[in-house]
Amino acid sequence: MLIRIWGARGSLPVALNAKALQEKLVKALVAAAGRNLDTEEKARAFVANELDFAVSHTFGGNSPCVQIDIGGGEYLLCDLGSGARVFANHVLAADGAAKGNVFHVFMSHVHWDHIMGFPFFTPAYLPGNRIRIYGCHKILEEAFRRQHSAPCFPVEFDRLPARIEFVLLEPGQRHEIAGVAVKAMLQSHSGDSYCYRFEHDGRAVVYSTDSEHKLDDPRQTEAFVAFFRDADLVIFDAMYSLADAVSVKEDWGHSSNIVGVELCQMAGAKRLCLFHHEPIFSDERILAIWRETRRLEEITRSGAPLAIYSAYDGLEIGL
Amino acid sequence: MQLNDQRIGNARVLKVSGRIDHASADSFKVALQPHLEHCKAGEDVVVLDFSAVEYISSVGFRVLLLAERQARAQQGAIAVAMLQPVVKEIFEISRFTRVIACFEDVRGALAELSPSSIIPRGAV
Repeated sequence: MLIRIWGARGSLPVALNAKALQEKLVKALVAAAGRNLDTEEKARAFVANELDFAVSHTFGGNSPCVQIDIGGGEYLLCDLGSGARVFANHVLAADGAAKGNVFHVFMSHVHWDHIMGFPFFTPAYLPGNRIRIYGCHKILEEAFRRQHSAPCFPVEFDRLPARIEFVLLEPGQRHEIAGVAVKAMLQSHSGDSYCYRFEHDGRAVVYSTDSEHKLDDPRQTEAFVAFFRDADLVIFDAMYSLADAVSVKEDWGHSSNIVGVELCQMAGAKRLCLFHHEPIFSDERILAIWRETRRLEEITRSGAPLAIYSAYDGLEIGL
Repeated sequence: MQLNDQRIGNARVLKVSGRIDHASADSFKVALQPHLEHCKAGEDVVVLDFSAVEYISSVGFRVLLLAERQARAQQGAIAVAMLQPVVKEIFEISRFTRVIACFEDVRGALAELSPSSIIPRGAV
């Protein structure tokens, strides 16, 4: 099982601007001072191995879209944020436009940052493709249709040539879809959201974004620990610091790195991927949060280590 | 988790020990409550001596948040002092150093919150 992050940013897509790019270049040039980087090969090795991640990379700015690749012929995605457009370009480049593909998309919820990629999802414009959109919200289909309606978008939903189907899932029930066992669970978020647990070939991945954890409800904590139990990977909404999540941003529907580590430790999960990054955070800030989270895991560890990742557009995690 | 109190002038110094986690946060909250009721304008300030706290989890932080809110609503003052290195790191990573005042030692907390409670060095 291979997990690909196509969009890791929450709420609103962002782009690295000229000033931020220049700062990276300045830092890279200073770091390279006195080094003999007279070939592209040497320069690439230097960038890959010696520069700080926040200088050599960017966490990216597309809103949520995650691919679960089990090696079959059909595609599985979580959410259709702006990252779905990049995923679609990748599929077209790999498969061409003529091949009819099947896409299975699991929606955490229908807030705009999670559906905004669909109007630019090129497979929807190609006949022969089949797109099955799964979710637990009764308003699932209506949300997608509204987004395609005037005055928001010029192409009406019914004019999309692909075969598009909406499938309502029952939370708590185990569903077999495209060779994967899928289960959904309700989360605390404005208008509700759902996390998903995917199991295939002895591996389990949990996609849990846009979820606020009420710390005064032990039953909710127990339910999440059970849902995360022994997962190989938990992709987790860590948008805010714990202090913000329980104070000034209480009831905003998001969680923290601290709660992510705690739940994963209690559940015996193997990997935690911090996800749904705050759009105002710079690469340096997100990198610092990742380092702090690794340190937190280290000083609070009582069992097997929990590997900590911070999602970035393009990240692949093999399970 | 245990909580022992000591009165110094108009300050209540509450020494907390052990782990404040999912198993003990409710006990911590219950033990703290009677002291918070007097943490108001014209009455006591509360200093939580964390020198013997080994760990604090998110639910423990929530108890601190609620305590700070209650104290502030009553025009009272509450602070934490003597965080051990690991616990101090958890406070910093959670950003709770911005939620509740943290001091290096109890004396420093009293000097800030209740100068009249300051007694000669070595007494606390």
